[in-house]
Amino acid sequence: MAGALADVRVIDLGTVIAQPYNTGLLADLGAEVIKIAEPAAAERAATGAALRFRNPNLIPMGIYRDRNKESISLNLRHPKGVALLKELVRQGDVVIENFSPGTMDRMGVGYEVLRAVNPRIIYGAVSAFGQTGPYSHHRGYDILAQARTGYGSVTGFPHQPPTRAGNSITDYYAGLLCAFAVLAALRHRERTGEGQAIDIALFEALFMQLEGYVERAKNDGEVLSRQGNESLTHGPSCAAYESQDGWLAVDAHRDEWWAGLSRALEQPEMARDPRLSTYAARRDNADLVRSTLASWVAARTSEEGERRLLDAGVPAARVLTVAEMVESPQVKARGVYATVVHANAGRQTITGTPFGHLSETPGQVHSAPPLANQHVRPVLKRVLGYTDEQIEELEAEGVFRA
Amino acid sequence: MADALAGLRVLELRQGIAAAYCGMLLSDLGADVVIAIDRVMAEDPDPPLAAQLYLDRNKRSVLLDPAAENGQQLLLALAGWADVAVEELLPDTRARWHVDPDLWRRARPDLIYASITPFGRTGPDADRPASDLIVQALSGFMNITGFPEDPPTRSGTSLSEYYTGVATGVAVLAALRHRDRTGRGQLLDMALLDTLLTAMEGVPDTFFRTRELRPRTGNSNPLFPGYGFYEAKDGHVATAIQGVNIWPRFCIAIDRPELAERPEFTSQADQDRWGAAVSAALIPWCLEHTRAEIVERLVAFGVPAAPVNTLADVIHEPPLADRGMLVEVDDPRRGRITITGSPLHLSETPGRVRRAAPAPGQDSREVTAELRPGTAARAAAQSPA
Repeated sequence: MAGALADVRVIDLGTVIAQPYNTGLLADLGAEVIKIAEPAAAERAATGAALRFRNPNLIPMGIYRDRNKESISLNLRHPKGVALLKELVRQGDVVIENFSPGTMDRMGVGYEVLRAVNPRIIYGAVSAFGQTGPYSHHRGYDILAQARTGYGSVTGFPHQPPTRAGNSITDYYAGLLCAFAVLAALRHRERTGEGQAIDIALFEALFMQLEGYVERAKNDGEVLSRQGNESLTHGPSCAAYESQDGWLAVDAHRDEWWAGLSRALEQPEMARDPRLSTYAARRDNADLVRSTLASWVAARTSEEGERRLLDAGVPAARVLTVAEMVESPQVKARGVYATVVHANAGRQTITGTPFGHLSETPGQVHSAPPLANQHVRPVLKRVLGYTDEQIEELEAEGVFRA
Repeated sequence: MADALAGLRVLELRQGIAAAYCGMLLSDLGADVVIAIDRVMAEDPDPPLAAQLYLDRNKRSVLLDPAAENGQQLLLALAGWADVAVEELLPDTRARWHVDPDLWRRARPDLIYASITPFGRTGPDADRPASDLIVQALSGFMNITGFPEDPPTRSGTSLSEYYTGVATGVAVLAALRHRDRTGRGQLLDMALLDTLLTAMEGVPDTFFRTRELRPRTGNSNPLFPGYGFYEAKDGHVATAIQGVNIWPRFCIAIDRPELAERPEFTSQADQDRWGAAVSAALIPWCLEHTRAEIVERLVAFGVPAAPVNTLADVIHEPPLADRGMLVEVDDPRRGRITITGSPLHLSETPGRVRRAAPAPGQDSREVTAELRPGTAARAAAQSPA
């Protein structure tokens, strides 16, 4: 089955998380992604993985994001490396990068230069605060976006400091937004022949996910802050509670779920009690909601609580570890994890695609994350028509080594 | 300015953030997005009311009665009108509305039907009731967030809904490309859990290799020294002192250039000593300075840093105004208000906020009139309550 993006060629200068995630998604959908890997960066990632887990045979934990891609290591400090990049861009549809704003210009391959090479090119950039604006020169990481957006102030427990989410949540949002923008720009190009530049900011990507808290702060002067495991929007009827043997997440914020809860707790009056029977009443009587749920959950195991709530149609789940999650029948049935054979590390199970269940063009993991420069020959032959002799000559001149 | 998705017709059926966010992104780029609701859903707590203020901008709203014959006709007319249906309904609503993707797709083989559910339409948990909180619990995400002495911790927003909203947008645009080539629509079976799992940073991948689990490490991680939230005199700051090239700048910024010469900082090879030394220099220095002092100083020396803001702080951040991320609109219910703008900065087809979120059913008459005349005549939409 051909992927939906089988005719799209992406020249991918992305590093770290957001852009590799973006181009990994495009590759799942069939795009031809040529990763321009800087060897030093690849080595740093590999060294980091080996050090962190004290095991030299490991591959980097985030390498799954490079599934389905081919890799060339271009030395962009070499004039012939720059020339080669331009040749690839001439044959490409999309260029992806996440350098600090201005870096591509300094390397001589900024948007204006690449647009002159290929007016149809779509240039997708992710940066900390965007290519414009007062903070465009700030360097950016997820942790800074979690800080500056206020996201940290709404995560965690009231008795603790603002709390960071346990992974780089912002990068994934930004990568997804860039993928979305790239596909929209491709659609525009199909009609007009016109390429364009895309400017996605980590800060804004996370700011978008604040669920109306910004509107409440800005228009109503209501400044929400962290409430532990209770939903800031829905309150304690949507929260995690301690059981005899762990933590149980329960969501009964909707009327029909609350009615189910009253059946599960064998307290039918709960569904009729005016202090509890409506969404607004449950928000007003948070203490009663909290104590009702907390005492019921505390009196049983997570497994029993989960079973009784689910039997009554109430969303509930034990709070799983990653080890438990990967064994869950649903996760296995959906095939989120894929097995690939990595050139160095051999058979590996890696995180796969969120697009595995598109009826006509399902996303697929068809090849393992590449080694740096693994595909220099096939790519230059296929895309640019180079011969072995030409490639060896460039190799000898140091075009493929930083 | 042109709109990349001008002429694209989207029917949004939603009781969740993911479908609403997907619709918002499509509408920002010019798609014509129509939300269909009934009187029950007009009072629905999902998506949250405050979030609707920005998630529903640019959209139109049609109120119909799914139990009445003309309501069903109107729904089918909308399904016939749309290029794309984005559906995130609870199972009982789907039944009440008689929404059936298989039926709709048989009638319209070129329809792109995006289904958003917690676990997907296949697998043993396909019908299990759930929401973002449940997905956060089952994904393992809560078990890598928070402090070791605290419980596993949820993220402060419905993060799986947002991830899946954008991922669904990506799937929709890819499916449109496929349709342009082949004339065929498709069913996009998107799951909150699937999408969140692809954003778990390789923690599961590492577990497969080592059988080791990343513990909760609070606001910093010993494996990434200098990367985290740190206490300042008047609150908290975030820094990302990542790698050996940032370290010397940090030493100069805190007026301790001699630290840069110490052997453990010239190479990252000795991770433990490096981490301990970074913490020993960073933590006391932050405690002696205010957030503003720390950020100003570090940023001036090229060391990534930011204040840990409250929501009262963030709305005053200069880049938001500068880049159109806070937009004033005339809301039909609230009057002049400010909402979150569009993150889609495209040079030729920028994302735009054209109008405020509609009141429920605000556009019933207008949309009905635009539907195919024969159908529209039979299916008179209800006026808003």
